[in-house]
Amino acid sequence: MSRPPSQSQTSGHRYALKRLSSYLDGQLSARERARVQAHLDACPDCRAELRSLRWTQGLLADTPVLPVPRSFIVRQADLEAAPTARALPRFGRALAGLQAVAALVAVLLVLVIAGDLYIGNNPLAGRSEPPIAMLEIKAQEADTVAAQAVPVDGQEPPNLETMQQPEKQPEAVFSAPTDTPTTQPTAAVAVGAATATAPTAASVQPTATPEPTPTWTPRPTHTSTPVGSRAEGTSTQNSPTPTAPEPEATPTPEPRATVEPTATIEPTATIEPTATDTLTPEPTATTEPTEPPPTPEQRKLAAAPTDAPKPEREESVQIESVPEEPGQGGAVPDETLAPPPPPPAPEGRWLGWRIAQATLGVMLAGLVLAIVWLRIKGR
Amino acid sequence: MTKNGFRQIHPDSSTNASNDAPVDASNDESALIAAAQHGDREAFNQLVVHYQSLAYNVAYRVLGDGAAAADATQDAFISAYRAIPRFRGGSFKAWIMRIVTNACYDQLRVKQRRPTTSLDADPDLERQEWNVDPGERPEAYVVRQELGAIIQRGLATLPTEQRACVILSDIQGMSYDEIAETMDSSLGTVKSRLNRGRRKLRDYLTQHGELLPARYRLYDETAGAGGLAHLFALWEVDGALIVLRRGVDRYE
Repeated sequence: MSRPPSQSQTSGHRYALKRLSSYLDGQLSARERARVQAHLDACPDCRAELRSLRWTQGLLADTPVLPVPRSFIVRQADLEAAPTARALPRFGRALAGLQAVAALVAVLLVLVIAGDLYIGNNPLAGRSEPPIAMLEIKAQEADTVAAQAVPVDGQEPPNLETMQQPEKQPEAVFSAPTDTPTTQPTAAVAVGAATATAPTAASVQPTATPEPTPTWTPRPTHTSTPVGSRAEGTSTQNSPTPTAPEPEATPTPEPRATVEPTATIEPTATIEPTATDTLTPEPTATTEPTEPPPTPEQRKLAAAPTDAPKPEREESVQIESVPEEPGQGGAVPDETLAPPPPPPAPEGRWLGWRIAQATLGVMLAGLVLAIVWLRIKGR
Repeated sequence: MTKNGFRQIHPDSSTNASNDAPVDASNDESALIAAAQHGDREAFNQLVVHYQSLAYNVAYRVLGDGAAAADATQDAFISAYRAIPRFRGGSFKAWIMRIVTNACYDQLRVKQRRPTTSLDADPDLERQEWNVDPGERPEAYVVRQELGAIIQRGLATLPTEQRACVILSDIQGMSYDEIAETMDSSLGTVKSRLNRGRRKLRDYLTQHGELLPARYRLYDETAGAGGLAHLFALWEVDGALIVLRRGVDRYE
């Protein structure tokens, strides 16, 4: 029965095969039906196929009906007792609120840091220790800030959690990039993401960094890449990136905290120290080793956002790639993402993810308060 | 072979005697819907009684698990009660089944999170649950049980949408239009899902043909023309051809 259809038949064969199921149900137009019928007359294989489909249909039709195990009548109690279906949305709303708060706080954080940098009253500014690494705390912000901001000195060990931030305050001038280069080349430390697990973005050194170039150009590259990617990874698609105070270049999106599960709160504001001669070599080491490199999916997610902010510099493109290659610069691998953001996951993870984001928002808020308090106290 | 809606409503499926009356005419149904839209829970529950067997059976076939199917069905009707003021006409059956299938997808997601149960039906469970048709002879009943268990395993091999399409179409006998509405997809999508789903299920059933009760086998290598006749019997009016089947069985 299985004769290979002749060449002339193959197209008709495929045509018929695709339609046999609908043919069975009488769901073909007269024309389709005629063509299928003609083919069936000539093709024993298709006749066998049709027969087996019909057989399958017959078995399905003979499938026994199950008795209903109980009545599903809707009782008043069902409506009052909030079933999970109802409870979740409410919970979700609360979560969304917290997520929005987190995003807002992230923006405030950037403003605070930027303000500090701009004002330039950093007690610590003078002492520039070997900038261990650039700490970019906030990934997204880093992009925006980094472009313009001059890397000042930042040396804290990347653990933001420890809240060492007071020291960190780097004076980076956001607005005028040109000026900045003059300032101390040390890496700026971004405070942004202090959240315990995820938020801290390890600084990733772009390939460019290793070469200490006095010139500006290198900087942009550094900053943008690492940050974006990580931030993204953690958060789902829309990562609200807190924008630094009007950086010219930065296309960075305003932080949108979306209610949607997708809404990400990026805690990390990264201020990348632009590449100064001194700094460049070290940065790689700085980041915390603990974190696993982002999973491919994360990277994908992250990648998208990174692109957007960068547009200004050419090099940025290269940078993007960096995070993916763990080997580069050594620094790259240690990206700190909190719990590795689950790839787009079923709702269960969703929820966990959103809770993590909300928690992060709370921690961020605490961080901001701590910074403000330290500033006040310091003065 | 009944192709219209669900085939049986169990008289004892409702605990509320007053709700036993089936909803026959579409007029009654639209009246009930209108009342339910104004918050008449009793009216809504008459619709529940009418559709719960269909809903539960679809959920069971999609999920392969009685408890999850019951949860999905209950969730679906509660959701439907809340949503019915927004029902804008069209096929109520498709509307309600859409809610049911969505509830099933939710259950599947829960299941993916905690993959402790498999989609395969528990044969013991099935044996207990199968409905006993009063008119059905005991042997036939057993045979159908086996068939149901194997079909369930085959369905579990299909992607969710294909599975739902096959169930709605070939087990529940819903029309293409209703299925398209239920699944919020185009007719073309329904056709192609059905085509792929049936073929895949066919592959499973032929590969596991030895598990099928003899009277359901495609063609036995030994059966020859008898097998074809048997097929024919399955496809056509089965009542008239039971005799033929018996003959085939004997022949085999």
